Amino acid sequence: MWKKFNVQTSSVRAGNVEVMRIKIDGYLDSSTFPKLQEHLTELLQQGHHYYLLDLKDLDYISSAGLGVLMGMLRDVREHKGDLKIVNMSEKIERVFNLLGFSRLMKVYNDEAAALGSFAQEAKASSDEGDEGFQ
Amino acid sequence: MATDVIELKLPPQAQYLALLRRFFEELAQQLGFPALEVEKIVMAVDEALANSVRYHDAWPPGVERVYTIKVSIDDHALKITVQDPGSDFSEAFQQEIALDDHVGEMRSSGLGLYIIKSFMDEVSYERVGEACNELQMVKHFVTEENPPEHA
Repeated sequence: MWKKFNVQTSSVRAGNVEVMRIKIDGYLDSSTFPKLQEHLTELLQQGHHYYLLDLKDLDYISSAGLGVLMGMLRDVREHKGDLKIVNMSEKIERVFNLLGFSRLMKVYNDEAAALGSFAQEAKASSDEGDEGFQ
Repeated sequence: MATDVIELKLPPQAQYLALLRRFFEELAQQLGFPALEVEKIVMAVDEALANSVRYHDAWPPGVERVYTIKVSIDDHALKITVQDPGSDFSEAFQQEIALDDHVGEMRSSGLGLYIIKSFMDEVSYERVGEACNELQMVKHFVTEENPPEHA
């Protein structure tokens, strides 16, 4: 009742890569961030390193929420994976721009383009003999 | 205009933050701040309140388990003061945060004070009384003498 927050995860194929598509709705603040952090940690431990975050219905993000995304980005890139964003609202985009997050995370307007970029990067990396992709 | 003062006392529970954000959003809108400034005020205040809530486990035993928000409105500015009986954070407050380094190194914490300091016009911290943190944030009204940043 109190916490307007929800996370839905599904798996989607992008070329040779299995991408975890995570839809985050509501408020990602100091009240709700532990739930997302716990969920993402679990997925990382399962060996998933490619994430597409759908922020269409994310209404608010605080430094605690941004910290989770930043920690996640660092972890997946250490494993040669990536985290991308799709459907960011203008309000959340302003926060990202004000705090310089836009230059770190790639943001797409539609899911097909985002998934296509995962597939392309995986192929390019595979052509270079990189073993980081599944 | 005389100074209007609103005082709120709250238990240090994060579940109230969403409600308080609504309050400050509505207040800032009613006071005529531009949309971007409203968002900045809401974020800065949320970070300040979240800081009080986050560290309440370290409050000394025996103190009343509440923190206080004082809102003052006069002809020139909206002033928000947050008081709590938590640990002294003057050292953290004085540290300058280089945003480029913070983001470049993908640090997952420490952005809250940056948001407070950079999103408000004036921010000060004082350790008052025997053991009370007082964080004061000021946002000036937009006037001809004080045009919006991005005008």
